[in-house]
Amino acid sequence: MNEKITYNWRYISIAVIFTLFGLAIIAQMVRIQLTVNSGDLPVPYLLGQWERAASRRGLILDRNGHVLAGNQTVYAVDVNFEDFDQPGEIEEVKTLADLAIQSFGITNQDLLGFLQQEPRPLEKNLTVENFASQADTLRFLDLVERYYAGLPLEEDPEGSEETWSFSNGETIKLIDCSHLIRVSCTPHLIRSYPEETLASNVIGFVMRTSNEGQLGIEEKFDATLFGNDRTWWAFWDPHKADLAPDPDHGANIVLTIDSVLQADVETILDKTIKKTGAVAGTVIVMNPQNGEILAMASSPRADINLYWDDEYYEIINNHENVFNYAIKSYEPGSVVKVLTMAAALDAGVVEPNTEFIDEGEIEIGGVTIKNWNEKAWGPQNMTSCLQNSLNVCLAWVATELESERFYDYFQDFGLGQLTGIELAGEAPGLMKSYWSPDYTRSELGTNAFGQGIEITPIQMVKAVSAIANGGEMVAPRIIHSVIDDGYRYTPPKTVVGHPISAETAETLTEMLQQSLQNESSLALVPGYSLAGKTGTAEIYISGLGYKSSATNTSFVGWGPTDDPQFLVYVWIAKPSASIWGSEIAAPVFRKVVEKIVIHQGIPPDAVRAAFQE
Amino acid sequence: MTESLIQAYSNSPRRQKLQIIGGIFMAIIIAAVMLILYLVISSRVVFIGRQLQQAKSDIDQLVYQSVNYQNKIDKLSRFELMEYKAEEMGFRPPYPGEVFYVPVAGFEDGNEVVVYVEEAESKSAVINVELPDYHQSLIDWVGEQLRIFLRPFKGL
Repeated sequence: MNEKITYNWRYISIAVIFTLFGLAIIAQMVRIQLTVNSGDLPVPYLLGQWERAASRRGLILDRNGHVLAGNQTVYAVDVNFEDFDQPGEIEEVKTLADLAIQSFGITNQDLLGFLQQEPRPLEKNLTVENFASQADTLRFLDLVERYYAGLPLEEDPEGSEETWSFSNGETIKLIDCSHLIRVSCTPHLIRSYPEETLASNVIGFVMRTSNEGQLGIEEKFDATLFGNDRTWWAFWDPHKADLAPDPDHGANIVLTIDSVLQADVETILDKTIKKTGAVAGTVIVMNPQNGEILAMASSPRADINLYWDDEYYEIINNHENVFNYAIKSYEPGSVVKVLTMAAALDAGVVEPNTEFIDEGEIEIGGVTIKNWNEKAWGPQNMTSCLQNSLNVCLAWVATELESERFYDYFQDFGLGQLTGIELAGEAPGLMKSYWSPDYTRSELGTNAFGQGIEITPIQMVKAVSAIANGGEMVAPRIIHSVIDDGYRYTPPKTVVGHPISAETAETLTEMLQQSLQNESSLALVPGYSLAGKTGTAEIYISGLGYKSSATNTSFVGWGPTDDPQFLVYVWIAKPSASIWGSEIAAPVFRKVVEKIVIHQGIPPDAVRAAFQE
Repeated sequence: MTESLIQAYSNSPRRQKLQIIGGIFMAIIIAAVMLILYLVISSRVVFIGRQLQQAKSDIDQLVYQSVNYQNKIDKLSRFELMEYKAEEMGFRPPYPGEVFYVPVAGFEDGNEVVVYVEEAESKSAVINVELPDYHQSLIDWVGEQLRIFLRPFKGL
């Protein structure tokens, strides 16, 4: 009986203990339910962090696959200056700040002031460098690790890189600072231009802070190059691992430009500008048969890796807001005579042998127009009018056409209209219509030789392609194709009109070829049949009018005339060595053609004829 | 309910009692097996998920690294540097009169663009993820795990 009582006592004790324990658990559960704000509780399946996908901006390549715009990995390096009050921690934070200044060469006064401030204010994460190169980041991490290891703070040339091993045993070095409590380094991609200034006016650049394309291809194709989903909420929950999107790289763009020819043309242009004392210039090389721009040089240029640098800031952000002179409008002068003559020949108002007695001046709409040398040239035909670049003769030709037909032809040539070339910031130019209220008849005469009218070099290239290409005018294009996800999208050649007949184009080409040979132009290249025309335009200065001391010198030409492979446009602005296009722009055309024929493998006429036989 | 169950159990003959006990145990065993399977599969999913997260992180790191290597190559092969090296080796650009042209039958130099990729017309859908774990049935997986488990006992 006693034994039974003892056992009952034991059972009751165990039951009481378990009951108390159970009640305690229930009480704790109730307390948590009542006291903890549910909004403060983390939701496990939603926990995560913002991550930036390694989506790279699309490459810009030349026609040979050479990279003109690529990417570079940089690191945003943050140092945590939060919650330190112990002497050891104060020393630690001070050392980290000093090492950051030393490694990244920090010059920003605000940041420097904070890093060197004593006593240091408590602050959260501070980005000490947002665009740290891999080398600088490695240097910094190496020094930090040396500090924590108690080693002397000397730079280790090997650095403190982590490695990543391939299945075949090869390893590559990676940057990893996840083991450092107060330091974090987040990789991200920025634009890099390995060729620095080459074709910089065409490419444009990408702003580091906003990641937006500015000017040129970068601005025009910003959305195409950019890609999508740069950042996403990366869940820590492994069940949601497959929700993380793959990097969505931007599409690559292949330009029609040949970077070797581009470099040669830029060198010629730079030397000319330096030698002639000009302020700016541009040279465009186009294949007139398909509109592909093979080179588009513009000067001055900038190293677009350093677009913010004082040296380049003024070039990019000049008062006229012009970085690419190939798409800037200007008064081109006598190169427009080619189009005036084309219109007159096509309309049948003149023929190559039509006679004109040049008396040295002509009055149109109450304004007297004179020749470039202000002299009378006597009996001329249309070829010699072009050869001698006679303003009086071409103004007379325009009057024979009359305003309506003259401006209709110029409209058909696309003057005063955007060409649609794939570059941001193309200027439309300025061409008045004969029905405009402010139009005066005198403008018919001056427009005929390229004054009082604003045209971009790329518009001239497009218009003249009709003459070089048997009457078929092609749209200039600088994008060859877009490559997205391994597939290429190629826009077709675009014919934008037939402003003149094939016969007119052939006749005018012969006239221009003959005029170049007759004047022994500096544009001629021995062995090659070339057609072309110089241009010299006085520049209008506000308040002073047109001054012959400051000119725009131009040249437009193409060849070989029987099978045109290239069309070259040259514009040199305000040269001081000479004011004449024949002396400044024509030699540039020759030098460029000498490079083109070698680079494009175009044999001299005699060799081509021999091959055809 | 509980009382009626206990009463029914106490009034049942021995065989019926055994059936009830057996049924309860069977239910417990089935529940335990399902629970174990759930836990194993769940842990497997977590493991694969972690692998996937790690793989994605590695891919990102490799992209960052390859971008830097590509950038280095681009900078080393930049036109100005190549031209300088060519000049250093004694080369210079030719002039038009110095070039000798040779006709080659069938050769056409059209100065075509040389960036070779497939044209867009042939584009087709692509499955990006090819992990076997996503396509393996549960029975296949159980069989595979059984084979792995029994492998050490082979030949005994």
